[in-house]
Amino acid sequence: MEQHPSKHRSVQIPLTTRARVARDVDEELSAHFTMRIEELVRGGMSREDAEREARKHFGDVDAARLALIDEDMRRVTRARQKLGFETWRQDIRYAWRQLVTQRVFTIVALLTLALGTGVTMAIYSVVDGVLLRPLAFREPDNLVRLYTIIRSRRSSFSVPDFMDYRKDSKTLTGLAGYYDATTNYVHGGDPIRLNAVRASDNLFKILEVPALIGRTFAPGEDAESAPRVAVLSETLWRNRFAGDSAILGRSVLLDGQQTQVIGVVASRYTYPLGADLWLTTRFSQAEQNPNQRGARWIRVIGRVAPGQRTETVQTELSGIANRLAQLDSAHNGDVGSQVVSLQESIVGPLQKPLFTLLAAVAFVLLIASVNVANLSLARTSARESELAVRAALGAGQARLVRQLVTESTLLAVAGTLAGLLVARLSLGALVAMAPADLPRIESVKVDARVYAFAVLLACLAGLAIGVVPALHVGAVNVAQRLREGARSVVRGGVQRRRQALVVGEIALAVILLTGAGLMVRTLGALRRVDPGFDANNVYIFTATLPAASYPTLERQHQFAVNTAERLRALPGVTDVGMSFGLPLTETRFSLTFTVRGQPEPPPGADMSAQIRIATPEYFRVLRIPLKRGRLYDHSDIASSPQVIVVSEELARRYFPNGDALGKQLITGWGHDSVKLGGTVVGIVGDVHSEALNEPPEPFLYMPEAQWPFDEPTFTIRTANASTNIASGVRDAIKAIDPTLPVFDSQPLAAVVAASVSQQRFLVRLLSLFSLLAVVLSAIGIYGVVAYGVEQQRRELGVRLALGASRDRVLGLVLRDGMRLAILGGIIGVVGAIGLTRLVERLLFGVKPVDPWTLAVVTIALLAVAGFASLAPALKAARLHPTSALRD
Amino acid sequence: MAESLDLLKGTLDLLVLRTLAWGPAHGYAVSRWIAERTRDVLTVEEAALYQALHRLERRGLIESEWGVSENNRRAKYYSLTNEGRRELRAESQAWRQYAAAVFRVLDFAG
Repeated sequence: MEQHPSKHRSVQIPLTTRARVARDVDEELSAHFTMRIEELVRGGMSREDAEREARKHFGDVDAARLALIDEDMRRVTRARQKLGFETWRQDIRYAWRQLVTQRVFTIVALLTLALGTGVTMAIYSVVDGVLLRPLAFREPDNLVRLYTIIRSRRSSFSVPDFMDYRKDSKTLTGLAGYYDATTNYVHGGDPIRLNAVRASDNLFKILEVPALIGRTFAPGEDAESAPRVAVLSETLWRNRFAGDSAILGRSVLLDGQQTQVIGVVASRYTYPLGADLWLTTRFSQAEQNPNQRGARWIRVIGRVAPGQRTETVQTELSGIANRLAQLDSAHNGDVGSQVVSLQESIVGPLQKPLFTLLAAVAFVLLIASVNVANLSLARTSARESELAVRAALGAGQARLVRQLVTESTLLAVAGTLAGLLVARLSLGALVAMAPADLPRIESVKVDARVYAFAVLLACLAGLAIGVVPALHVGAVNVAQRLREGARSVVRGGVQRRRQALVVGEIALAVILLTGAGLMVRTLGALRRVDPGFDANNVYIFTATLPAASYPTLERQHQFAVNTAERLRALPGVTDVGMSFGLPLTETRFSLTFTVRGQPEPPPGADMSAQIRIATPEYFRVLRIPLKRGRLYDHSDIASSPQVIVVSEELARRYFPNGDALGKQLITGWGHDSVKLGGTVVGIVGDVHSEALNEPPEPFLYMPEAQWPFDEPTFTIRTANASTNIASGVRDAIKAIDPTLPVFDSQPLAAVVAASVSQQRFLVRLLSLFSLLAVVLSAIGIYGVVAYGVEQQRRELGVRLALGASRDRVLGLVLRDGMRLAILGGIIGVVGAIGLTRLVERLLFGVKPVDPWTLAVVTIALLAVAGFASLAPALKAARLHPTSALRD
Repeated sequence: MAESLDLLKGTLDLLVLRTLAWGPAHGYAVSRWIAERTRDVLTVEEAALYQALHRLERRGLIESEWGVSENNRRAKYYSLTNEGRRELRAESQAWRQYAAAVFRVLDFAG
């Protein structure tokens, strides 16, 4: 027993199977029995007795055998796991050591990655929060928005149309109608204006929104005769009613009407967005009258019935539209309908700009990854001899590749973690910079969905960084490397790969720069657009006159006159106008009209215009020029003949013979027997009302004295921009009616600026991303050129020794850098020409292929490339020939 | 021959470790050695002994190698690992304290 067993390991190899373990156990047991029996036989026992005795002595052999096999399997499995884990840990430890020793590389790579992934995640958070995240409602995919389609433009529904669709549709479980209606509420002596939504009683039922407390609308509560009830949004309830459930059942005074609060709805269920509270529609008999089919102001949503699809809904709606067209060809002759998912109806128009941003930021990330890949490729080639030694010591090529991939993954994970920090920090700034009307922007945050995206990014970045060096190592012939030694290794392949990467990143930078350049040109073009009015030194505010205290048109007109008078008396105020609606705001009020004495136009060819009711001063305050005829004035009063001023566009479009003046226009809208309209007395300049990038629409201006209304917007011109009249305005209104809230008070210039806020947002971000891209590309060029100089030291030394001038060496190196830049520039320009087409809809005043932009971008990038190559070129020119040759 | 006693739980492991402290041995040798040392007072069922050997190997206290026995037979040799040696020291100490405590109680009357 003291004899040394020969060295031969038993079941230790991790790849052992259960069969091998069992064989081992059997062999061990049989050896035991053999020895025992031999000994017993030596002691004088017969062989049979010895065998029996041995068995008896042992115990239950079969049970023991199984127990031993199980025990060994447990051991082997553990060993196997440990071995795998061990290699993995070794890889990570080794990678970590590499990253720590190469501190400069690691810091540069981490910063680059953190920036790249950080901005990408921040933008993704916005895209996800605004566009992609499903609405909070139950089964949001079944919720749809319905539109009336007139001349291929989306429009709302008229009350009679809405009633008919609701009655006839079988593919929708229900249709709910609603419209915005601001309401005044006096809160602790302070009048405030609330965003009320008047909805049919089934709105919450269709959205499947439960009440947070209390209840939502019951069937029948939207009837004109039903008691007035209100559902509050959670936000309003918490901010104004201290979140006290005692509010339930209490009456509040809204627009002077006692309204009972019946429930509160949680914030995440606010629909439409921005609603403070919900009231019921209470359509009057007159509003439901079929002669009102032309008045389209009800927005409609629905829920697709189980088993139905959007397509079947669309088919059914088109059928209903056709039937209504036959029923009432005057109003509905050329009117269709369209069904769109609710989510798309909210965020659809934002898809293009936001996905453009996401694409742009993906480019930045790609450039960042290319830079890091480049760095690590340079590092890998510097480590060739080390890798060759490891290969010679038994590390297989697969293991070496795995090592490099581990390193790049570690780097990518660390970079992405740092990127999360960047994303968190920059998201606040991003949200603050975003246009205020971006829906759902307030709910944007870095959450689980963004974390999942971060994991994806880390994997992609790890792959992007690791794959190029790994390919490189995979192609290395280890034996040859070792034989040749580190110095004589031909590195042309590496340098070519690095050059290709740099060319790629320059191309990406050119595309990004072009996109940014086009947006800058767009914004510039928008700013140069003459809106048709002068917004400078004009201050605006709006008031809503509740029907309870301003029941008659006379009272409304009197309010306007009194207020204007008081405001005019304020110091610094030169003129005060008043109107219903303002250019570049959301108030739109369009009507069709006919000309007295001319035949009715055929369906689809009817004349329509935006209506603007305004005082004579309105034109002066906004400096809308009179082109022909006269403006109406204070002699055009309620009792005198109705007069109209039209815009040039209206005169041009509908009276091409130049005979608009003196015509009598009639609309179908009005009160009692009097219809909105009158004799055209003047023509004024066009105003961009919808948006600066939309052409001016035809406009009808009517005197306020003849058409008073309940939501006047005052336009106040001051002598200079510094005049602050906000408090004066408040005091003036308070003196006239202390219960009236003043809202939307701001300089008109802010309204104009806000109308291009989306473009400005895009310009800012794209410029930022382009700047990042250019800096990163410059670093990339610098790295490759500097490395090339390092590699060609001997060659350059020889040239210098043979009498080449330093200028020539400088030129040689510069040429290397510029060659890459030019190649990248060409590819980039081609790519830009292909890609900018996709964003054509975002552009204004510039074509997607804009030679100027392309030229400027290319020249700028070449300059940057030249600059980046200059430092290594100068270094090469200053080389000392002999020392270069000695190295 | 004195009447044999059942092994106390855990004691078998200790005995095996102690046996292997002499040097590498195969299972049969371990069994023989324990029987001789205890003068057959402690009966060790061999099935349990082998299970103890494999259990100790899994715990990393002993390791095994195939070798050739004195009779030129292939046999599996077990030897103590460093960890096994530490365990043996600690367990012997604990066992001695335990036994001493029991003796103190038993000897008190006399």
